[in-house]
Amino acid sequence: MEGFLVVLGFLVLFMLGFPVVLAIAIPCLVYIFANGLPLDLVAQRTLYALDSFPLVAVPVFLFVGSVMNSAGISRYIYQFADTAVGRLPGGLAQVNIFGSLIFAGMSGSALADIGGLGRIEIDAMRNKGFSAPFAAAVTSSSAIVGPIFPPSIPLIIYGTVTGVSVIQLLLGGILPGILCVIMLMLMTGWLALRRRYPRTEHWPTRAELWRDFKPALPAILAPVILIAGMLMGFFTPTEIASVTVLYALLISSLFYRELTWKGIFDASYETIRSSSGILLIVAVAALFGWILSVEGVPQQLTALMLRISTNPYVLLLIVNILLLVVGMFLDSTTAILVIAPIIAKPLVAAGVDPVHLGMVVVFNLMIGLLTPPMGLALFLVADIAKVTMKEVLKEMMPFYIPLAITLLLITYIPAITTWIPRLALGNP
Amino acid sequence: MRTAVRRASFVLLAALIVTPLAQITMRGVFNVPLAGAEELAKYFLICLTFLAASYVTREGGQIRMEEFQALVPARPRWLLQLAIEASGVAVFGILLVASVVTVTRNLNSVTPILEMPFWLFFAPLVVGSLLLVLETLAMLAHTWRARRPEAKQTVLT
Repeated sequence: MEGFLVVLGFLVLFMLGFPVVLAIAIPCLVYIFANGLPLDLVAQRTLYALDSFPLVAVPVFLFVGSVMNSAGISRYIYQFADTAVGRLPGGLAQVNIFGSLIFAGMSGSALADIGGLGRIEIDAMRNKGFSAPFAAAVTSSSAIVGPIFPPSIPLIIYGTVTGVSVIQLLLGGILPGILCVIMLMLMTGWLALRRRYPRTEHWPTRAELWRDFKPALPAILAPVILIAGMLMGFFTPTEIASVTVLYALLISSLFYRELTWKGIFDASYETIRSSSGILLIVAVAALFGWILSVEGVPQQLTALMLRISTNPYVLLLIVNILLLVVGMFLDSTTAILVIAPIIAKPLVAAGVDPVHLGMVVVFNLMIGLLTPPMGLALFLVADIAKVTMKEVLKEMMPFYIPLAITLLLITYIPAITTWIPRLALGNP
Repeated sequence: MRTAVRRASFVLLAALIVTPLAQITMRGVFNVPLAGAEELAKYFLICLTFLAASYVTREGGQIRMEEFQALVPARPRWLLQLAIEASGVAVFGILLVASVVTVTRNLNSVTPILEMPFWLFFAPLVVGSLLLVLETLAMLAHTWRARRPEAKQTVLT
């Protein structure tokens, strides 16, 4: 009962406008004082939550996203995407989605996509006559491909928490990421035909395509180099983050030649602000997670759901519903840390492939970035596009359909996730 | 002080990126793995998070939802903002006390690989929560003196 009161306290404070850190910490501290628990617990749980090597990848990948934006790499990606798919119905909206897939190959963060590439895309779409809320909706829904397609911060955290091979998880994200992009492009095309959105006047010639492909090539090659390095054992998944920074800095200085010291400082301070904000929540959420575990809240909820069925397909449906609700209230890192270790065991025991389950969990929580009240992607995109949350949400409605279809396909066709890891690791 | 925090955060971010690269180079090129590189990278992460927290707070980087507050009339909204900032001072104050208590009770402990003294390991939490208390106090004083609510308290909504 006390565990549920802590959750309720968090929700009330959060709705009142308390920062997430305080909304989590206040009910936790009340619980600790009410139960006479030692103060050491507060400091130890908070600090040890960050004593985790995989979490090192969080600021580093955020830095990659910022460097890509400062160095102009995002602009070259956007230019190539514009040439390649700008003629499709929806024009720049399709460019927005396709660009996110390329950006995803270097950055494992949806927020970096929105903050960098998204900024360019929203401005361009507005100038072409698209409404700002629609541009914001396309940008935020396509940005969630970032944490699905490798490299991916949430998949690295999931693998660390559950003991599932991170390499397999990252490889498993390739097809779901591409599938999600295709679904979003189909919906955008349909909306564009109905609303008569503008598009490029002609298909690109081979020369135009090659002209814009060349500058984007180093960015497109990044995931290939990183995955190959991982498969050959040169570096661990967490070390990929640092290697990606090195790669981004190298191509920025040798190839694009647009990165300045000011750009590096700006990217650093932007990274520091984002990562410290997120990681402070991770730290405090550890206390929250501990209280919920002690009170048996997730276990009770999971047990309640598992009592309904032991069929893996039914269980996956239950997990989807549970995670969609959880994703509405918790940020993805916190949700993975709290929920994944509890649901993984019973589902794997029921016959669900652990890599497949990891993708289902992460994809669900990425949809959570787009659902209020705790939709971080919505907050950021509304700020960049200078529109209200209500306006973005109204335009988001059609985009929840392709995301839900992708989620169902990922959930009920495990091969979408498991085929590439099995192929790459010699077990087709 | 604020400039020092900003600069220290920048150095910590650089160290966080360089440490795994040094580990890869030493292991891959010289076949000599760096003992404690992981522990050091984790420590830099802890330092970065807690030291930069006050900078994040001042810059409006704390994630929050302000939709409800926008519906509230000015006077109660001002009171609510004062309450939020006062609770921030209290929470970070408790965190400061908790971290000092923890350090004093574990003065003889060290970390497993680098054998870092416990007080040094916990120092980022002590310093970070102290800076958070000071920064939140400054915000509270600012809101009190303004006599009206801030239009926005975060850059994220």
